[in-house]
Amino acid sequence: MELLAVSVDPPEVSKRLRDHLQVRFTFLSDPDGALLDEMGIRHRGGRADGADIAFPTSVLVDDTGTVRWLFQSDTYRERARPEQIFAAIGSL
Amino acid sequence: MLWASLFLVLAAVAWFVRSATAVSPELLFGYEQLIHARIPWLLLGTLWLGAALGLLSLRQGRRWFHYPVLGVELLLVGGLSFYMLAGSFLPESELRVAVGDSFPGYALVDQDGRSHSLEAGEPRKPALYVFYRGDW
Repeated sequence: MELLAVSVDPPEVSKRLRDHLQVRFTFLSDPDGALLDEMGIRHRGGRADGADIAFPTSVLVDDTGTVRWLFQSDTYRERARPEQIFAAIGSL
Repeated sequence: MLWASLFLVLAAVAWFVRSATAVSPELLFGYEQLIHARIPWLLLGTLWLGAALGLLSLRQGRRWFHYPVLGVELLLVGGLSFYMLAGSFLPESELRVAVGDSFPGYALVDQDGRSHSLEAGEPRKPALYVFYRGDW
């Protein structure tokens, strides 16, 4: 099982955040929003300075590359509950 | 009653600020409310109770300091209520991927500049992708 955090931040910003949070999973940079567009989750002008960012979305993908679970809220405060995520992983 | 109302409002604001800025906020009381509830009613209820007590305190007599204290309370309660009920809500996304679809292919770099690429439908380790708004 792999955990990947994805944002439009450049690698150095992701690295700083990763060090600050003291976590070891991978942070992927999608500065042009190519993957966001494939997913349909580009939030145009969503950042305070008007830049495009991701709609917060969690996606569980199985070993065949198929999406098996997905979480998206209509507020950026709400995150998936750990028990929801573990239940989805358990069902793989 | 005015001081009890101010205490409630400031406690709720402190709870919110502490949770929003903590690195390991799951250790905090009530964090679950703020991050896993679509609308954090417990926090809003505390704020509104504080504001109601503040307004009720006017009936017990008015001193000059009632007005600035109530003004600050109402600004905080109004601001946080707006944030929780409207300001933090997102426009509708145009999500194009559903359960059962192939996750799209990508070629991206990680925090150390290493390349990561996968074709859609390519065999891989099961993975949880967490798209987040970024750090700024």
